[in-house]
Amino acid sequence: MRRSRQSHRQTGEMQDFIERAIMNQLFRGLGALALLGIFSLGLQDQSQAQGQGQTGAQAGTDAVRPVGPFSYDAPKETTISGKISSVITRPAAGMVWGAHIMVETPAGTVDASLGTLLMRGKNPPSFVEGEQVEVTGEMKTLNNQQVFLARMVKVEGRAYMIRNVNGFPLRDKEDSGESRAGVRKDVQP
Amino acid sequence: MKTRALSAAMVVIAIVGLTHCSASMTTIPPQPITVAISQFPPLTMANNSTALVAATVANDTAGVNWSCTPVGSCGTFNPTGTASEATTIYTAPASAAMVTIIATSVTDSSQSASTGVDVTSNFTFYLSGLETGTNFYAVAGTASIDSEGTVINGETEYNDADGITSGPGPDDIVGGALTVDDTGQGTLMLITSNPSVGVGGTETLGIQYVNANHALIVQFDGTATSSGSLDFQTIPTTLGGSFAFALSGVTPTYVLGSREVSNSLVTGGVFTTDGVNVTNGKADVNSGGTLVHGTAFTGTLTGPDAFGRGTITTSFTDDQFSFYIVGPEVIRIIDVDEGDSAVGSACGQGDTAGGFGDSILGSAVFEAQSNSLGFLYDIAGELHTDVMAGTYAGVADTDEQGVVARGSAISGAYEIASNGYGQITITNGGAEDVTVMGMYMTDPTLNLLDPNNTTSGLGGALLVDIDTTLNGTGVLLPQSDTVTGDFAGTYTLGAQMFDVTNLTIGWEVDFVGNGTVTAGTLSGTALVSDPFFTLSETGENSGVAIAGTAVPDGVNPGRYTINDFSEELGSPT
Repeated sequence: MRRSRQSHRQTGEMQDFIERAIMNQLFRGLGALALLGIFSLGLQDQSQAQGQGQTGAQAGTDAVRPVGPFSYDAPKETTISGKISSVITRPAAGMVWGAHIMVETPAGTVDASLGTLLMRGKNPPSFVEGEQVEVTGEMKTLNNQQVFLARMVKVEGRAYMIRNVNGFPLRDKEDSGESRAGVRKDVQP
Repeated sequence: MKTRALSAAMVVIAIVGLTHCSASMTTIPPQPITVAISQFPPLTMANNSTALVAATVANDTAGVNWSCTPVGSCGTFNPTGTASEATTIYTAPASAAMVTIIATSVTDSSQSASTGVDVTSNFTFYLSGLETGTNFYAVAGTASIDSEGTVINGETEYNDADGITSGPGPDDIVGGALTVDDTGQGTLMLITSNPSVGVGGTETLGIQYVNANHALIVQFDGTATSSGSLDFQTIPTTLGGSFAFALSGVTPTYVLGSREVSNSLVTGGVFTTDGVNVTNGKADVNSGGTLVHGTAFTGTLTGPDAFGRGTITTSFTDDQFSFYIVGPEVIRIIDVDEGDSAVGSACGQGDTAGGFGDSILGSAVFEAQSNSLGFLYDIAGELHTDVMAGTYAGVADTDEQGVVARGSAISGAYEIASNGYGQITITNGGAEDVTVMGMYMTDPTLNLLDPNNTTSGLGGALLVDIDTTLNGTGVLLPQSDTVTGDFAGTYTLGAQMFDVTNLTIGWEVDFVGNGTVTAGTLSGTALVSDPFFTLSETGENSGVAIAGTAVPDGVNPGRYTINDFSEELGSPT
């Protein structure tokens, strides 16, 4: 419970922004009065879920909710920087799914997981060995390996949002290029 | 003289003859009775639909009797007999058939007339998966198919939230064909009015019938891959009652850190409808790990039309939804907004609505998974409840992007309100990041997977994962038989696989198939939709041999592992 509340508070603008965005998605177009009423209800329920007292099954849930391997704790975020030593788009067996970049930092090489969505599509972002990169995320141990779950990557003036503050994968629309059904000709084995 | 006498005789004969002839005309039988269809039914009719038909009877006043073939499955008439020119109401049979309608003279049964009707059945379908453009996409619709497998017409909607969104209104299905072998495996081609979907507007689905009313389907034309189902449709007079629902999809694009992004979203809950108004709604939403619990909502339904399609609007979102009826207790729902997409089901709660509680849940199996743009994971397991304590214990297998918990003990609590709105928590960490799921109870007499099956596999709940780390949807079903020896016979299978071997192309593979299980050994044949070439060098693979050995879990009856599952594709991988 404490962790969730801290997460909500400390992530500040980003979290607020996400919440606003989501609520806008959910409630856009409603009349102003209805919007205020339901929006408030939604936020109240959400705050209850994330940190306040609850009733019934909900309370039992969060009070004992365990921490899973991919559970993301935004307050524990750190930022690493260094040069990209390699880019892995086809992870080996046992590696966390998705794309990886190996970052040479002063403390050693860090395996940064870029998730499953960033490198998707026809025109995925390009990461080049030797480029200076700054990665914000959280270090996790997954399949007995240290993996830095990247939430945001900055490289050569470009910034990519990979996960939200919940650690949830984001689809970066700008990097998907043209994406339409019926474009089988674009797909090559 | 002789000539004159002969002439006179001929005149006499002629007169006699004429006289005789004249007497004969007064005694000949009436003109033959003839029957002709004067009011024809349409050449094609939907099952259970009605049409007026009439026949004209000449030279008789007794009218006709109505009949049809194939006897017993050709429909009915009301009334069964009519006077000449009078109409009767023909009701088409409940399922597709090539029907001959016959009008037979009451007076002379040798006199009749007939006409043919191609009676079609409607099948409702829905799918979700990954396009070759690596977008999540959803499809739902109804196809009208005749007894020879010709797709006559229908309606469908497609939404990838990235440029291909049907509407406003549905795309028309204007033709197509259903072709299956004697194992019920084959393809369903749907020709639509939307050139952006499938290959130039034609979608080809791989299909595996489970029974005549239910099939598993995958998109099978290389433009996308997905899994779903197709079910025989029965449109009720009024769509009413209490329902549980669950949908999975993606949000609209929004700006985050100067980037335009979106994320996966799932929602589920309960509501009641009288066919027009939606009331008593309660919904959970998990949008990228940001949760909204128990939002109350109302709404409005329109429709359904002749294909069972209607629309839903609700007070908790301005998203536009269409639905397609499977039957009185099941509808498929698709989000038809241009910017976001989702698909799922609403399933009836039947007479138990308002009377649910913890005791409704005993031993059960469950599964849930993300959609193709979520945090990729899946979970399956079984649980056994302590109703008095509101707790359970069980076992689950979880795979989170390759981080696996295999045969892991799970335990926790659950709670079910009287309206069926409930929740189940996994409190021991046995299922990795899966710790809490919304659980929305359904009619104990409803088969969630095969809604037309009223005799087995009944009851359960829809699940929506409401964790902050992941989201997904699934089902929970009562566990009825864990005897190893009973896991034998003929089965169908469907599966949706995520594999991120090559992210830049795509990561989904979908299967449907059938086979047998003999002493734990699985052997069968599948269709494999692999447009991203994960398993093969060909996108659409037919006749794929599948095999494996199901090994029972000695500790957890009902759980099996198949560690040697194989599929032999045209280009084995």
